[in-house]
Amino acid sequence: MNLIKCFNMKYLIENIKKSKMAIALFTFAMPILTILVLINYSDDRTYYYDVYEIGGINIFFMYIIPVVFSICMFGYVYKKNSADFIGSMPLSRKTIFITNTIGGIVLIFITQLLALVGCFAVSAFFDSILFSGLVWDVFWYQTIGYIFVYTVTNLAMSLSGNARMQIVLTLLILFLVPFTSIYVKSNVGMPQTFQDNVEEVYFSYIDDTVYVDPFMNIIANGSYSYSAKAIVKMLVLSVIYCILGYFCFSKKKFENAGESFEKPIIHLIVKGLTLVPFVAILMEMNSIEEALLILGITFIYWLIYDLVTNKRPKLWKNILAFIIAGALVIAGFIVEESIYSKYIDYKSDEMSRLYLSNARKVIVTDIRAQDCRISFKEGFEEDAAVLLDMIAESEDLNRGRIEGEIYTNNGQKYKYRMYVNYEKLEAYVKEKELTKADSLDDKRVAISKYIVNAEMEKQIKQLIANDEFVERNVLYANESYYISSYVNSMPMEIKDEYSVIPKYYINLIEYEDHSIVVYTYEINKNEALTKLILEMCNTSTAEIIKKNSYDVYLNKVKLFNINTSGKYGDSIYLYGPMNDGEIEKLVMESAEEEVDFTKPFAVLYFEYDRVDFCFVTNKVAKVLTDIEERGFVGYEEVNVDKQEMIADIEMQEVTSGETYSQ
Amino acid sequence: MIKITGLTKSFGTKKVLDNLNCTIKTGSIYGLIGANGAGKSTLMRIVTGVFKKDAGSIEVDGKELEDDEKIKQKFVYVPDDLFFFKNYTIKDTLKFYKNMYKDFDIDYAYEMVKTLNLNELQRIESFSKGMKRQTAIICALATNAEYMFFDETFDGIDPVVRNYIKKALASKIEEKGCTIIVSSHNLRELEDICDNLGLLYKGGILFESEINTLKTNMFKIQISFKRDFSEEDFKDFKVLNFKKTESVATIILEGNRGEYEEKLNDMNPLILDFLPLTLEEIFIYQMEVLGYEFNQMF
Repeated sequence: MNLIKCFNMKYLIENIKKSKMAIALFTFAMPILTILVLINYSDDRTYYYDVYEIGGINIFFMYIIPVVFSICMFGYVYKKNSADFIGSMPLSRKTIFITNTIGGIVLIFITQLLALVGCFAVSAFFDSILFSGLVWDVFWYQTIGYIFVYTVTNLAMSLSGNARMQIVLTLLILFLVPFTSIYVKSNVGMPQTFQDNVEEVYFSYIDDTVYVDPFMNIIANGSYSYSAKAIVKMLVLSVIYCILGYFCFSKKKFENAGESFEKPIIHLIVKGLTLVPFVAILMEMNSIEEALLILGITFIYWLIYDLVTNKRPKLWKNILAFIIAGALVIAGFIVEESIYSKYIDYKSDEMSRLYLSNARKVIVTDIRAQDCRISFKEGFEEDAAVLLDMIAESEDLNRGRIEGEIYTNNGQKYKYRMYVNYEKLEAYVKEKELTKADSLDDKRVAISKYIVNAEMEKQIKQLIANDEFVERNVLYANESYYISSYVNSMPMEIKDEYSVIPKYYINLIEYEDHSIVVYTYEINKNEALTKLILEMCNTSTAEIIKKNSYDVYLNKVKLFNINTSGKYGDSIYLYGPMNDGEIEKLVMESAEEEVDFTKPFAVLYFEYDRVDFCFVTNKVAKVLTDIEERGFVGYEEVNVDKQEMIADIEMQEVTSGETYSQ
Repeated sequence: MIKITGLTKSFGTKKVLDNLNCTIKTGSIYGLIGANGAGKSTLMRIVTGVFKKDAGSIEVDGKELEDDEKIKQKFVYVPDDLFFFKNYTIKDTLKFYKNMYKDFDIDYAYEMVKTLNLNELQRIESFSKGMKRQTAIICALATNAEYMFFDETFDGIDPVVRNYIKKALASKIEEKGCTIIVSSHNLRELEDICDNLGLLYKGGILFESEINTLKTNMFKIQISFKRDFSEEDFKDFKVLNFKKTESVATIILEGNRGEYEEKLNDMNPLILDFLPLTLEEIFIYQMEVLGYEFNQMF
């Protein structure tokens, strides 16, 4: 078949023209909304973690725009009165199908291209930190995703001329298989009871199934990120659905335009398939009463379905069909469950089994996880047991790979990364990978989730360029959402006088191989860097407070070098909203001042939007006076007279030559 | 010429066209008459490529009909249930047709629009049923397609417009050699338009003839004699129907009118009137000859 010969540009233009308003609305809506969202988040210098971050609106429209395009391009072809009109036009069926299919795909490309250009434009004009690789990934993933949904809708339209049936078929083609798969996998083999016997441990792994449908991948994996597998699957299926759609369209009987399936058996099969979610809910019920209620609702739905699709089967036939269809769907579930159960029981006799649970003794698993048994290499059982104890408390369970620090019984400390090899059902421990970044050129420097400005970035890169090691954490494509919790859970402890910054690490972030790669660098290794970061901290904290003073909380204040007389502890804590103009004024006035760490200094910890910031100042007495005025809410007990302590610190400041006016 | 042989089409278990045979000559107006559900629209839809046939053969100018754009350029179909794109004006619709049909004559279309006093910038949705039909007819005529199919299109159009369209059809046939196929369930609608008629009944063409032939070969007389007379007295004539009321008989005869007039005058009638036959009457009597009750067909 010569595609060019079958493509009719004039027809395409006319076809688009007749629905120009709807097409224009939906072509521009998604890119415009995406741009607006990006602009909205562009001023806080947050970088975008994953596909979902910049593709959220894109995902929302994935099930709307292709369907709208499909209706615009094909919808009228299947209506009773318009079927005569278009069918008698000097257009062959293959021309209609191919022209409209290509037309819809072109429209999808335009929509995605606009979003792509919008992303880059926002990134260029505003401060949004978008990795170009991430933006391109969104472009391809979403474009193919949209085309996939478009071809599914076209196929559904070719199969049935009835609009309501088309919706049902579209939903069935898109969601039936992944829904059933996710349901079964999340319900099979779940241990019902927890055993204290340490000889028996289950390891929960996150199922690695990549579904065709991007939305189902979000449900299954909890994240929305680039997946080459999903793209290939969608592409292949799109081609198959296109061919199937063409075949159905060329054979279509337009005398049935606007009507549901002619053959009762086809109607029954489709109706029976729609029972799947009802049966899934029914199988979840714990009591007879609940089950009967769901059964009743399901039967009412069964009857309503016929009313909606204009079918009038005899009641007794309908009841019989309900029983048979219900039984078949249940049987299908049981068969599918049994297939997975066999997999779980594999090698069960040879393994020492462990339950992996979190600190609350709850099996660490969720909808995207299921249980399987693992065995360990010889001699590893002891370490594994210790390791798993640690893991059980950390909840750090991450797609078959667990990492962290571990202290064994003999006091040895090592970093671990545990992998689970699903094929061999083995687990092993490996030293954590330490590496030096190949090049810093393409990397962006971030503190917490905030990218530093270009000048600061340059300075930081210069300071760490010759340092030997940075730690490289590849956040795999499907795990990139973890980055959010990852950066937010950085240790905040102050290690020594040079490490007063709230974040222990700075991050060098890069988007490579379709995933965010984070190189972490320990700041306290480098004195110059520490000072530089502190200056930046003070400046950025002042900026944040200036913009959001009402939403910033002063969480904690810590004092240093105040104990020269040996009278005091070195810390005072205070919690509460920063509704104090004096602290705000202090921050604004002192933001540019240098800090001398040999003198008394205070570190003020602020929180805004669940991210911590710090401010370091030598004006300790001033800070304490302000805190005193606020009544030391939630302070750590200091067994001294507070006024005396303030006076003492003021004296230290004066004697060390540091003065300030209140 | 369109030659249809053994055409069969079923909708589910219902056979709508059953081994239909018919020939539509080029350059004529072919009237397709039949009751509702007789299969007129189905036949038109199959020929124009909307529906697919189950069996049989359709030859267009000697070539088998296929789902091919070149062949479909020869057809234009105006269905009974008209469709126009939402919010489209006549201007938009004409542009659409121009992009679809290679020989579309947009000047001709605008001329007709002007003559029929239609507003080219008004949305077609807001037109009356008659105006919509006029628009559809204009579009169809302007395509200059070789075969134009009008499915009950002229039903209900007012006589002035009807007369104008009739002339337009005639000039299209004359200028372009087009073939017009018009269907109706009302013979009166076709009487003054068509050259040929085919009666579709139970999925097949029951009767097919030229209207002129029908009208010249069939006539009605009222006759009376001084003496008493019966149908036996007319055994030399082909009598399709004989009704006698007292001394006057009304007879439908088929044959050469000149010959019959001479013969009848030789019988010395008191009264001899030749009355015009409507097409409906011609059909009724023809059907009776074939053994069908015409009224049951409609």
